[in-house]
Amino acid sequence: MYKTVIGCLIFLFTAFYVQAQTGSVTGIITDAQSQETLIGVTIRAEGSAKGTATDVEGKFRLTELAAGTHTLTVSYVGYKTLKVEDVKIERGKTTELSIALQADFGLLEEVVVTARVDKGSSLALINDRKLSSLVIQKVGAEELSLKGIGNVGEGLKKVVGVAMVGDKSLFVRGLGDRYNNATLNGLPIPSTNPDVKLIPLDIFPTSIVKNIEVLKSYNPVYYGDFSGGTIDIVTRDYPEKGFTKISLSAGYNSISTGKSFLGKKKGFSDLLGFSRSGRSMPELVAGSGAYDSYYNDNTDPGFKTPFAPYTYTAPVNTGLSFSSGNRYLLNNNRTFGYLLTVSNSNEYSYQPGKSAWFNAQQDAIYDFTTEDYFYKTNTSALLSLYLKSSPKTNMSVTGLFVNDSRDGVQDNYGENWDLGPIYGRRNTLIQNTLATGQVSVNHRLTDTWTLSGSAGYTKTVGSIPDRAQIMVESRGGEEPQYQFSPNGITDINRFFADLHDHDMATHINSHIKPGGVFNEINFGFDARYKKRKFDARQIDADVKSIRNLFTLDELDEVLSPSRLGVGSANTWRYKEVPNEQNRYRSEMQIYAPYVSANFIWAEKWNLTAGLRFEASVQSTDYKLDRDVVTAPYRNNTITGNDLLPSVTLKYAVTPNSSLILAGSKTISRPLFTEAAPFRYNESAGTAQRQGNQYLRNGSNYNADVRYDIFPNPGEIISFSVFGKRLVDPIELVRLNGSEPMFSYVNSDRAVVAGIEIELNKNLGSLLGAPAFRDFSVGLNGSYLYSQVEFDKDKLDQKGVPFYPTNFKRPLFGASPYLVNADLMYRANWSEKSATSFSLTYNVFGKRLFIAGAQGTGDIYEMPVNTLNFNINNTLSKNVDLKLGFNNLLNPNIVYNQEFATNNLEYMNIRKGVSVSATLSYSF
Amino acid sequence: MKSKNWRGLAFSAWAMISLMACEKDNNGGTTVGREGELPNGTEIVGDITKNTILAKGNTYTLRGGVHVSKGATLTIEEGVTVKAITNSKTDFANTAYLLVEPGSKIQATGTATAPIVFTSNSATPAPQDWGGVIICGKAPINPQGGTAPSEMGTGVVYGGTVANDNSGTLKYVRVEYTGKKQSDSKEHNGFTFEGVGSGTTLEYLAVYKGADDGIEFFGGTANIRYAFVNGAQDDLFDWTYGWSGNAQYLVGIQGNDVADRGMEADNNGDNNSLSPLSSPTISNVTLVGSREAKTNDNPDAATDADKGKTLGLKLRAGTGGKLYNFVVYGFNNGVNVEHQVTIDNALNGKLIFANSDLYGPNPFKSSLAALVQSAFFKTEVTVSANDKPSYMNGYVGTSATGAINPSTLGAFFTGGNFKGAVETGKDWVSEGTWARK
Repeated sequence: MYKTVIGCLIFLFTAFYVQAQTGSVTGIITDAQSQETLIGVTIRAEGSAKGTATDVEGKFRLTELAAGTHTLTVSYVGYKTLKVEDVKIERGKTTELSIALQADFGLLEEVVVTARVDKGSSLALINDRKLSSLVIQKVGAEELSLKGIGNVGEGLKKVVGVAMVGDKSLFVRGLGDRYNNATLNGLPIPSTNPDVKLIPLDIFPTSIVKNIEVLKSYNPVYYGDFSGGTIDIVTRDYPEKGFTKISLSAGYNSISTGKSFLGKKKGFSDLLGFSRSGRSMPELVAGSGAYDSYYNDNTDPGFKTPFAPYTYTAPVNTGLSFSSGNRYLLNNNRTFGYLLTVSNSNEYSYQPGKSAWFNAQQDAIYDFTTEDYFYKTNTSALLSLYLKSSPKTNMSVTGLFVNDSRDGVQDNYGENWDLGPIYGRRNTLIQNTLATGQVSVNHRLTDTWTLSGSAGYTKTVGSIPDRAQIMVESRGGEEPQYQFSPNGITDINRFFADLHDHDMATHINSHIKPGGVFNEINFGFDARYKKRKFDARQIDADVKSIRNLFTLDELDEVLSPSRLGVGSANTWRYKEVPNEQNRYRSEMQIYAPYVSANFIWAEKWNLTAGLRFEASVQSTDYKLDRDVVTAPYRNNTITGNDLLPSVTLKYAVTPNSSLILAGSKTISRPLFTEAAPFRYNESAGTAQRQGNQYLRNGSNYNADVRYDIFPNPGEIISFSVFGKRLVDPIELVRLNGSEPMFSYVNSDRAVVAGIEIELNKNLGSLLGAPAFRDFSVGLNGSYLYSQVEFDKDKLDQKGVPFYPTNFKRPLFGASPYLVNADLMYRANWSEKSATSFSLTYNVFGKRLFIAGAQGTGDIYEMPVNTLNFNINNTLSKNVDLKLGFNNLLNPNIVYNQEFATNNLEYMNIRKGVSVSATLSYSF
Repeated sequence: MKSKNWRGLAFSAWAMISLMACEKDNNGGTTVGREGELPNGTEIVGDITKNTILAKGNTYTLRGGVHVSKGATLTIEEGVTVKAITNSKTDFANTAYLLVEPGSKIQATGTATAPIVFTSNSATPAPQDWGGVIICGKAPINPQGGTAPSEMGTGVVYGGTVANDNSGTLKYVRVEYTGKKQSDSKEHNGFTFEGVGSGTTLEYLAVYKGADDGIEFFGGTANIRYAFVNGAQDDLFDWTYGWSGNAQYLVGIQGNDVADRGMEADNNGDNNSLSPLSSPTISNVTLVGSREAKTNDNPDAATDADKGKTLGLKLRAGTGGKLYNFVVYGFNNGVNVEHQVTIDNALNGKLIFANSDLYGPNPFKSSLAALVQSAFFKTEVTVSANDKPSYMNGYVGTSATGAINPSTLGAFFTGGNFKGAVETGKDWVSEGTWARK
């Protein structure tokens, strides 16, 4: 691996872009009437692959044009496309042009627009990056589609230094959830999972995405609880031309499809992923503060999840999506556009594996075979409306609905050191629903002053309705027999959890271009209010009177509601123990004014300096398990008043290369649940967590250096070095005690440093061989060092008792190396048909999963190699066919618990090879 | 950005009010003469943060988890009955328990005839009606770092460096129908001693029908003398985390419904080698097992799918200890020594089981045979396949044959120059009403 990294470094310095026998053209494009410069105008050199777009100042530059005469096509929305002929290009010289475009009023059918700047295209995004004075990287819809990427989480993996841990949790530069932010069109979105700050990004299908931005250096325009990255998902807006598209897909997995599968018997709504109501809490139970069947005349409460899951054969995975959009040029120079996409997809997944946990003597605390069956769905709907009501004002309204479900059965069976051979099974549905509405307005007050404002409201509902758990003792036999433990009072239970989040946010920005040294000034204000209500209940079953042996399939007869009763053999009883710590209420308010200014005091130099003041209040109302039902809530409030400076300096080394230096101070906050001392169950797991009221905000000092080279439009070579010092970083630790109990503490310090390399290049120009003109390669890799430290003599100042096995260790989820590589080839068969092939490869270095305590080893997820192959066929003007072959290597995903002299396998699972086909028809 | 700290204030105020209410509510006919004395019939709820007295002969109720904290002392006088409120059809009460936080004290001194009794308020009391009594102290425990979160009271941390820490006195105290779950999978014991120091007095403690363990020590240096556990559905006695106290005159009797082990002894499950080592010195113990009881744990020698798995002593996870003058009978299995560190302790004298009588089928696991030959069981241990020693009548009976004089074991030990805990004709269990049989 190190060789690869070093190889890239050598390459980077030797492959410094050499100027050929070519020249360049630069220019500025304005509106013929108003003389205002136009941003995002597309300029193409006919007969070559060269193209670019104008920057925020209306300027463009086309390089590497062969000496001679060229024709440039200049096009822009609402303007007549212009062909500039006889542009003379001389060797090593730059031709300058000034072009005025005529607005195109009315006469809709005659307008021919070659292209609006498509912010989903790689070309435009790289151009954006070239112009940006921030450390930013974007992935567009085009790249996502070509590489067969289904969701935003997957797409982010293509960004250098970004990794997804456990498919859900995002790590940027080795920094996890706490250090990252997710926004939707610039406004924050709350998480559907109470244990993490970031919404699981795999719930956003790529069909709604125009591009994904990853900002790695801090800018005061963004929220300050940041150190890794701010992820902005920019949803699609209206298209250039009216279209309607329908896609159907089908998928096969080598170890799941066609195999025997466990789950809940599915009705139509279950298939769609809207199963919440099908498992809602029975009225009898909901109406009781603590449900006990004995006190309710042993009537059948009517729980809906069976203890014995239904067995069926897993069918193929399917997907359906519909999208439609159009744009209308109205009178008075107004434009209206819309986009609607609706999609639903599902996946049946079976993951076999093993799981074991060892103590310091390497004796197994438990050693289980695991089988995980789950049916996942995702439904999304996006409606985006856009109105340009005057040349100076535009506004948009966006509505997004996402429903994500995971309905599954997880079996663990094997030896527990204390209990012997046992069988545990959980039948769990997790359904998360998010609905968000956003309005944004952009108004140009004067030529140099633009005001923009946006506001959004998001409601999130996360549910685990009627999770049915059994844990029984294995009694062997040819047809395996089981028995209830005579005093395992929580072995059989049903669990309900509901999370309701409301999140309101608004962002107001004033953008001024005073001219001169003051190139640009942004100032504005962010306000956010978030509110959460969390309630959970666990209803245990007292089954100790049932002493018969049974098979797992017989469980619903053994635990038939008709046998509810007390005192006689073979009766059982639902018995809920009230526990007030299963609910909490939280609120967060953030108010943040900021100012950021961009200075240009000399050619090639560009400085952005800014300051943000963030005032925040986080308040959690909670109860402890000792508190009686009538006790008022306890409260923990963390307030913060943080001043967050940042500075970015950009130097244009050449017209096509630049150096960026950035530095900032940011903060990190504990989550609602982390800062209050109650115990709670992780939403999916047996381990408990306990908050810590002594937690305080951590501060982060970030420094970045990046060198970018843009050889040709759509191409980039980039090299960055970064370093971060985290003060009082909040880390998860295992508490002393016999049960697996975790909590959070402010560790003493951490450092993170790394190198990132990116290459996006046409293979023809890379090798100097025109035969490879239709190939492009992408390669990015990062090397990362991270270390978090705990001072032994300060352990007793942390608020909770813990003792790590290693006082210095890497940060959670931080891989020492990450590599993404892809090779793409595009074949044009005819005017209307083409095929592109893409081969993508990804590998990450071993990363910490659980930090050991009391001498038990740390657990690491070992490197995983992923190889995907995608074929994208444009069969005709109307028909597209995509074929995807994913996880071709089907590696074992291994987690090792590391001891001084050897490693033991903590977990080992496989996911199978997936094949999918998507057929789309557009009209 | 209005501060919301008022909520915190509101809570403290509430806690105070609940106690003040008790103090003021003295028009029920009871004369309250002393500061902090709660009138008869008071429902105790919330934290006890000031010195409080439960007065002689009174009956109180206990609702939810009550912590004695902030250095306060809870004094319970003889003859007091505390009835823990269990949830019912209309009363959604959470698990009741009493916990003494480190630095606070309990002075509960009953007498044989007027013991202090913690029981259930249910009309049909049963195991799991409420939690239990937990004492947390500052004495050494062996998890690295030297402290641990209390199993039961969220936010309470026990353990420390004060070996002679004094959490007060429990004398002639009985708990009944304990073992309710606290949260998720945590179950209460009858008495739980977490990091309790040797300055604490524990004498004449009785447990009747508890769902989990009878008496459990999590580290600490506390000594115990005269204990009677009748019908704990898990282990009768249990220790882990480096308990290093002394114990003399312990009686444990399994019920015929559900039972597991007579003694379960660990050093530390996460890391068997941690110190201080669990190394209690124990003499004069009678453990009477049930071969009928259903067992929830790993069958060591399953003879039946449902029963026949009780075990006299499970010594594991690196425990040490010096166990003398035991009489163990009535179990399906006798002694099991598990994990290499524990076996090493047995071989090098840190774990001793000697001068004892072990009766019943399967006295020890066959894998132990070599160990038994070499070190363990070497000194004056009688192993017999007979059901019980002829000198035993229930839990009463002793034998001087092969016994050690406990006075040689340390100053704590008195008398007891015999195997077993209760001499015929000197039945300290039956004196008065403190123990329930």
